[in-house]
This record gives sequence, structure tokens and C-alpha cells, in this order.
Amino acid sequence: MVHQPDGAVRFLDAGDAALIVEFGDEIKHSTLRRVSAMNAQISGCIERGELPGLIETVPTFRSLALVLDPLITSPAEMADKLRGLDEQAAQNQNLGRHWLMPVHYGGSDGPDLEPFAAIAGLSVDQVIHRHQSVRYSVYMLGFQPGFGFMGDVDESIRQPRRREPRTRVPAGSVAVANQLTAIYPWESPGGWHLIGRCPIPLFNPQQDPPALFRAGDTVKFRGIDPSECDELDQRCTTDSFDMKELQIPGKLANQADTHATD
Amino acid sequence: MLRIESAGLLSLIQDKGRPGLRHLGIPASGALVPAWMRVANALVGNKADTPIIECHEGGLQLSIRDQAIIVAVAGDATASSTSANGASRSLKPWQSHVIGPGSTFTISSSGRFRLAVLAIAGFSPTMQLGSASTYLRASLGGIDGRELQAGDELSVVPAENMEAGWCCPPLLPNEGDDSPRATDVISIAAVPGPQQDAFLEQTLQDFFSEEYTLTREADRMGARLLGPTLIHKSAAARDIVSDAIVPGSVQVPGNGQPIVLLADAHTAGGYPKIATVLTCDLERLAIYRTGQRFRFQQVDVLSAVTLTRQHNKRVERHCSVLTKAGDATIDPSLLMQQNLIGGVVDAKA
Repeated sequence: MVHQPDGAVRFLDAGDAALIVEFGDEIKHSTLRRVSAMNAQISGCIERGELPGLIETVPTFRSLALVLDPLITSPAEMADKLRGLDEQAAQNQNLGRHWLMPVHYGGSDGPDLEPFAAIAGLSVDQVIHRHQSVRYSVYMLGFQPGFGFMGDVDESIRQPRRREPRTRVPAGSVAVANQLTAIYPWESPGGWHLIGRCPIPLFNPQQDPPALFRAGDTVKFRGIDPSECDELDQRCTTDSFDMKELQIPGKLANQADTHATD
Repeated sequence: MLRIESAGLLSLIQDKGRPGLRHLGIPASGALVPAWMRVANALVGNKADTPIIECHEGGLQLSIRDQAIIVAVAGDATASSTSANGASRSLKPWQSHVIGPGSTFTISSSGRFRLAVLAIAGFSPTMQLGSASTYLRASLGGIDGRELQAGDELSVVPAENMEAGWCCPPLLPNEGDDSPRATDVISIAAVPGPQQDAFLEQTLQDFFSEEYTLTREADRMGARLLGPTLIHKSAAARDIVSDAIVPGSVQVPGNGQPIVLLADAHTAGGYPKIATVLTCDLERLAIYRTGQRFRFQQVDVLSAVTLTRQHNKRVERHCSVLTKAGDATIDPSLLMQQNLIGGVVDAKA
């Protein structure tokens, strides 16, 4: 495989039915682009039937896991085929969708917003503004179905996870921790700072695909007031909300956005 | 139509799972013991990947309404049926049986294993995202996304040829060795990595030589083991940037006790993984009971693939040499329904 200057790719063992292609050990956009590019390339190969036995790829912050059927192929065989891929080839593909997600910040929907702002030495409005100012990249999905890890949060509002995680984070909670932000699709325990709530369901098994986000998408947040939040709640419950309303065409997304860069 | 009278501790519809969705945070789920699913299905004449019911412990009871069914149980289960007239008979595992209408069928215990697999001829549950497998965390598959409950009705497409009485030897991980000592310490083959570098060299040696015992915390997500502490190279090495997890991943959190992830595990995590258990050996962590001692056996990737393929061949062979049981069990109530003597004339007419 042709190496990128940003660090050599490593192949790591993961048993008889998987192979890890590791690009680095940090969370950063340049690595995300490399993971996305290789993922797009391999996905194309799978669709064309060029990699028999490769079941799926799983992009993470800094690696691409290949899940394979050991009865048909093997990690060694898969690694050999990958060595022939050119990392450069898929670099310019941008298959991600661009989302604009409504958030009701603060109040009972964002119980950590005030203390979070206080620690940051900022007003609540400043925190909200800075959270909304970035077009985040979805690095990967994991932890829960449909849970997208997004980054990078403005440096002025980066804080480590809560010392004491909550046993119960409500579904729809918009949260931040370190350089990442996310929306919890499900109620669960969680240690991130809850700053708001998004009324849009991120996971619906009746849909194909069942998760709204995927790695490589971008997300921006826009603050809404309680009445709009209620209205969206209603529309989502009665299934009269089309997710496409949340999508922004690529051109618009790229205009005048503050991109988080490394 | 079958009705669940009691679901026991936990009974879940499973099949070969829903691969292809890990990139959305959805694990493949699926039967914890695919070999048993394949054999039980073969015994009742189903295709290998027909959904089955994974019975955790015992207590599953179902009633048969209008049409007879054929069932087979894989495992060490104690099962029985009671016909409409109250007659009971015990039903051996590793053998298919006809159960007549009006009867109830019960798996009272999974025996020396934590679970048993029940196959029903023509079982046709609803699919969701391509699979009937139950994934409770996201309410996928199963019955409305959940485990079986009393009152549930299962849809069965009745088989044309109601032929039962097929049987086979038990298919157990320790092939050919049924002696009690054989299960003192069960071997689990694993490949070092992906984060074997996070651990001291001595720790790797310990992992592959010491005994680890199954704790109570073992379920479809993973099995926590207790044994000599595994030591990370540094405090920093105790966490990694979240990386992909696959079934078989052996995570080692800060407390140094390994967790082997299974079918329902999260798809990514931040603990270093010292090794990955072979797919064919995962069933060992699903069936043996709390207190079972294990020893990890180091193999390289090439051997791992060979072992998994050999295991597959073994299961294939097992499914292809079914024999007719000598004492093929016949359900008396079914017999009563058959008009065995034709052309009887009413003497008084």
C-alpha cells in the first residue's frame, strides 16, 4: 500500500475473522480522511465482488476493521489484496452527507450547560454559540447503535468527561467531552456533559439504513426554542417528519463554515 | 401455531445474525453456539440457518395448538412433552421428536451447560434488518425486539413430511473425550493482538499459560474471567483511542482481568485488546458454567483460520450422518388421530 506521509499504515491481527488496518493513534481530521478514503475504496471493491469473503468494514477514529468470513478468505489473503490499493486513489471522494440538527440548549434539556460554561470562564450564550459555530465531522459510530462521535469541538469549550458519570442520560441528549460532541440515540449511562436535547430520533429500525448518521458525514447544530422543539417532537412521534429536511447540499455546507482543522 | 406458556429464565430467537451493520454501531448478534443451531436444524429438516430458540437455563414451556410439530434440542437439556390426555414422556436431546396438537413441550433444564438450542421444523419468525436474531439493547429482532414471554405465539410453517426420530451423537467442544477430567480446564485458542504491545512480555506469557475462571458476569455480550492480573506496560497503555471490537476480542481494562467479547458486544471500545479468541472457540465461553477453568492457547493467524475451517468441516460431517433412532418416539395422541384401520362397517347399520 502506498503510504501517506502522515504515518505508516499497520496491519494488526484480530483473530481468524478480522483484520485491523491502523492509520494512527490520535483523533484528527487528516486521519479521518485517510480512513474514509480507504473505506470508500474497499466498499466499492465489495460491491463489485472483488473481495470475496469480506463481509464488512468498520471505520473508527484511526483504523478500519475488516470483518471477513474465514471459510472463504483469510486475514493474510485480505492483507495481500489491500497492499495493492493506492491510498491516494480515493482521497478526493466525499460521500458524506451534511446535516443541520436542531438542539434545544440548556434548561432541563442541558443540565450541565451552566456549570460547564462556568468552568470554561464563558457565558452560557458563548458556549452555545461556539458549539454551533463548527461543522463537525462524524468520525465513527459506536458505543450504541446510531451513536456518532463528532469533532472537533472548539478548543475553548473542551473539558474532560464528568468525574462521575450519570447512570441515566436521556435519549436525545446533546453532549460534549474533550474534542468530541455527540447525540445519545438511547437512554444509557454516560459521562459526557449534557448541554441540550435534539428531538430528532437517530435510530429507526424500520428505516434502511436504520441509523441517521454514518462516518464521514458532517453535522452542524442550530439552536431552537422550546416550542419548535415540542413541534419537532410531535412530528417525529407521528412519523410526519422527513429526515431529508435536515440535509444540506454539499455546496451550501462548504460555504463560510468554520471547519475544525488540525 | 405455538404458544409460549412460560419463557423460563431467558429465551431468545436467534439465527446467524445480521452482519454488515457494525459501522452503525449494531453488532451482528446471532446464535452463541452456531454449531448447535446447525445440528438441531438438521435434525428437524430445517435449513442450517433457520432461526432457533436459544434457551438460557431452563423453564421454557410451549403449547402446541392445532398442528403437530417436530422439535429437536441440542445441548444437555432435560426436555419432555405432555399430551392432551396427560401422558408424559421425556425427550432426549440430539434427536428429533413429533409433538402432537394439544400437547405441551418443556425444557426444564439446560443441564450442565448454561443454554440449550431448540429447533422447530418450519419455524418462521419475523425478520428485522435481515435477521430474526434478538438484540435487546436496540430492540431488534425477536418478538417486537424482545425475549420470548408467556403469551407469545410462534409462527410455524408445518412440514409436509412429518418425519422425526433422526438422531446424532452429542456435538461438544471437547471432541471424543467425555471423561469428567476432560472439562477440568477447557482450552481456548486465541491469536495475540491487536494491542498485545500494550502489555509486558511476561504478561503475554501469563495470559497464554495461566488458568482463568469464568465469573458470574457472563452473558451474550461477553464473559468476564478471573485470574492472574494482566499488567499494562504503562498507565497510558490502559486506555486506547476507541477501536473496533469483534466477537472474540479480549479486552483488558485497568483492573487487569480479561473480558472476552461475544455476539452482542459493543462494536467499539477504549480498552486494549491482548488477544482475539477464534470464532470456533467462542461457544466455549457461552456454554460452560460459572467457575469453569479455561486456559488460552496461543495460535498464529494461519493456524487460527485452519482450526476454524476444521471445526466447520466437523460440524458439516456431524449434520450429514444423522441416523434413525432405535426407539423413535411416537406421540400416542398423534397415533390416536390416524385412521389406521380403514373400511370399518357399522355392525348395527
